Amino acid sequence: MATDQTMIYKFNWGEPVKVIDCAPEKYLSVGQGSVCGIRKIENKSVASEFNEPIGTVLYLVEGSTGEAIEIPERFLVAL
Amino acid sequence: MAKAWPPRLAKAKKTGAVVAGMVGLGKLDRFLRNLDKTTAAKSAPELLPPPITRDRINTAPQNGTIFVDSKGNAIPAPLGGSITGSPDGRYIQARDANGNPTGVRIDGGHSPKTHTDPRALGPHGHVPGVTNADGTPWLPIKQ
Repeated sequence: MATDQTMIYKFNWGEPVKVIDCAPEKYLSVGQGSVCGIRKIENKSVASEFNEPIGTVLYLVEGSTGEAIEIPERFLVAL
Repeated sequence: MAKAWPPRLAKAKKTGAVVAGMVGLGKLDRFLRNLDKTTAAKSAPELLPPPITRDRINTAPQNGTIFVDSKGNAIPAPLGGSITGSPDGRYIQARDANGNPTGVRIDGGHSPKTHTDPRALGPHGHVPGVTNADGTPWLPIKQ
């Protein structure tokens, strides 16, 4: 299983987070949620999909109803 | 007309190795014949349980891979897919060939700050399109 055990992320698995108000509309629907997955953008395809540079950390955030989406780190704050 | 021995065996014949081997084979043959009269007289199905045969059909999505965690929970990923997760193995996500989450995942539990359903607070699974009877997505898993 791919885990980056040497990497220290801003948020940890299970940690509650909140989407900041100035985030793109597609992320605001989650509002606040819990981190359940973490990955870094490693290629141009994913970078363009998220409109973020390679190396950006994406957090899979599950909202209160169970839906989950990946959100770039800069749009999240600790709850 | 006697068949010519291959060069390597001809040399061995001179040393008697082949003859000894033939004698050995004769003993083996007698042993097998005796075995037939005793235990081998029983047919194989009487001695062994019936073999378990399964169709060699890949049931993973898109002929992918089914990963299984230490608790025995299966996490299917499509062809070229993978799994990622936390170092402690409590959170595991299936991902497609591009690294995008498929929606199949195991969560170690969420914060009560963000989730109120008790099933979401403890370890649970998610499978797209599968819910509990009440429509909630936090599925029970082996713990």
